[in-house]
Amino acid sequence: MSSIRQEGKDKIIFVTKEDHETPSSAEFVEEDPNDPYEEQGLILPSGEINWNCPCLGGMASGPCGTEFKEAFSCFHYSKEEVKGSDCLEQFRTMQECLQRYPELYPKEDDAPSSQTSEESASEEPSGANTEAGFEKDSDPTRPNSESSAES
Amino acid sequence: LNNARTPLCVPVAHMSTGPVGGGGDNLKYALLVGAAFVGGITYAVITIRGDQERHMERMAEISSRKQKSATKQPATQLHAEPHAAESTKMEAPPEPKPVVPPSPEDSSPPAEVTAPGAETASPSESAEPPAADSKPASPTLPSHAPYLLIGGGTASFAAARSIRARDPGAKVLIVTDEADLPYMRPPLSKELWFSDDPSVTETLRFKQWNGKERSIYFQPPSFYIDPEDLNSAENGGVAVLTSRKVVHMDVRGNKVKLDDDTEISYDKCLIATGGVPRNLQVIERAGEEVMKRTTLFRKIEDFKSLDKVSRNMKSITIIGGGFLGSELACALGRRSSESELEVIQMFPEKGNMGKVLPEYLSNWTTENVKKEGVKVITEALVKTVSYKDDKLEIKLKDGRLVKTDHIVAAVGLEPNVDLAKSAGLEVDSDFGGYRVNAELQARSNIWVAGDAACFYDIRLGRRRVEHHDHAVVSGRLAGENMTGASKPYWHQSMFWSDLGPDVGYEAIGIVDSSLPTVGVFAKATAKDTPKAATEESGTGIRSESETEDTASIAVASTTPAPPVEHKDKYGKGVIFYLRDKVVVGIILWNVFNRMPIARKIIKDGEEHADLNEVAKLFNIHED
Repeated sequence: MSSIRQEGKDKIIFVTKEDHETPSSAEFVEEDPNDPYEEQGLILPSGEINWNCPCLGGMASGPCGTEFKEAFSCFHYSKEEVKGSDCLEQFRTMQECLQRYPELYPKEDDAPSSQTSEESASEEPSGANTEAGFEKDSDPTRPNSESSAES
Repeated sequence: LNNARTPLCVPVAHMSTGPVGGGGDNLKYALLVGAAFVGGITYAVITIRGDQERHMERMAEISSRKQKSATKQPATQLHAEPHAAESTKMEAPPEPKPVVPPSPEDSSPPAEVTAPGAETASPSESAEPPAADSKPASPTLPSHAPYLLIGGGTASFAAARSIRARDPGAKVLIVTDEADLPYMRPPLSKELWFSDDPSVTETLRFKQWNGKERSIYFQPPSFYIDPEDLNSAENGGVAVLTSRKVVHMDVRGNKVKLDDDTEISYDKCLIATGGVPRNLQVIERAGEEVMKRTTLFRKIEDFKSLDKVSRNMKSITIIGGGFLGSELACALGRRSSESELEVIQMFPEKGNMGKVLPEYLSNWTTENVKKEGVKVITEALVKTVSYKDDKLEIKLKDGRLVKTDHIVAAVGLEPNVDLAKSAGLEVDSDFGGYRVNAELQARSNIWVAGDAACFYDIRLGRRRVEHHDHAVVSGRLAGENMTGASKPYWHQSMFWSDLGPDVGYEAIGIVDSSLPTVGVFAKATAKDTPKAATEESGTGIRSESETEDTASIAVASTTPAPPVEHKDKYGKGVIFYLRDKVVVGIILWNVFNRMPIARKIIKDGEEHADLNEVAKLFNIHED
């Protein structure tokens, strides 16, 4: 049983768990998946990669951004059976670049390339933890970096 | 790779006002060599006479660049001649760049012309160093930046990131009057104060919610490139020019002037100058001794100095009851439990966050702030401040007198619109800041983001927002629009605050306590507030009816004890802020990870008949 109180212009409602158990009758406006204004995920409606996706952390914008984009683009468009197997050269170039900036791309167990897959779009590439930490900056005290990191 | 890069050099070249190369390759290179020769000599002479410092740096640059491959050199060299005569204008560094680089890459016909070029280049080089050696080195700044970002804070960094992600090889120059590289501000009034590390004022590192430690700096110095190297960087980069202020903006000429008279032209410019903390007039008029003992909190240096003060002084008074004032009060209050520090907070409102939270919640929050060890003085209007007997005396309008050692004034932010006059940009009279449209544009090629931007929010109307996430969101958006996106402000930013262990909230939209609100709170039953069971709340009177309600239910359950006064009376809930029956703002009170739902509700902008139904969407009873 909920209780309602009015204090001037402010209404205060207390609800129990049972009060809120019934499904909500409030409705949302339907989302347009192709809304150009919306924050896009990793892959744009056109099929291209959204380099500005918060999920990539700062990989595409840092000093090794070009190398990263080459490698990941190659992977994305790779038609091989083992996806990305024709991109070893690009990945190697990228790795070389990452190694030149150990501060930005600390050595982790997993290579950044294996984590930057379209399936795990919400994960940060482990090799770019410090860089990627930026997107979580907007909400350092909350889990699931809110705001601009959510799409 | 080469295909991606070569087009880049062409735009760079064409941005200057020199002539475009014509004819065939041979003619081009012949002209180029000749021009470089003449330009090199002329420039060297002028430079020695004019700016010795710049010259020495240039020499060092040249020798290091000989090793770099430079496909761009031919294009940039074209402008050496016309610009050599202009000593005031600083051209792209590669100007006297020896024609040696092009030679290995070009076909044989130019080879014959490069030889004389190389010969002439070397004598000029050898002549210079001796003279240059005695002069102190100073940075050779780029005279042109394709992307110029004024201000080195959160919005600027977010824009730099966005530009780099979208424009391959973009060259971004950030100019900031601070000595620090871009950093995040929230930890300065939150996490850094709770660190166990005694050297935190030096390391500026803090622990995030997930236990991971990080620095307040967005990126370590290795992320950035030196401004001097910006133009020659193959894949571009972000360069930060610190301790330099932009003092004049020439919109027609697309250039700015720094405080050292350096001019930098741009293609796209972002103004992200943030703001400066406001002060109370009474303090400004109070004289040197009072001003010396007053902190206006905004930057890293303010954090360091306040930390020192808190360890050395006996009493600190915070004037201001908003986000910053309350957060600092709680941070210092927590410190007061370990030391003898007295922490006082005073403000004109009736309770903490009085301009944000509805009265009942503001009162409740104030009680919590008091529990953090803060002496809160509400409805306090400062009349005078004076320095007497080694103490500051704050006299309030109602006669109360407060004696303290140090004052922190957290009374708002004055957006920095210094460039409005020279740039001819509009300043908003209602909200302050530069007036920009929904796409954050002030004029062609000029965008504004962050605290200084008064923008048009399609959903919520014209506003100016001073929150960290807004700086990130607007910075990103400005960066996107600077690279051709043409998107309006659409993704609503959020903000958050923690005031002690019992008050933590996230908010989105317009959260103004003058608006009618509907708050839906989880009714605490006896079984789900074990930790509160032992404490009495100070707000006992209003909650009597609640306890009576719960009492009748509790009788039936296993708990024999009467339901206790929970200090978590407004423990968890959602508060809706309404404007014309539409939800324009939402606060998630001690309820986390639901921001996307809140964002959606604001975005829809629908009239909801029953907000309790909307509140159900948040599952406030779950964790």
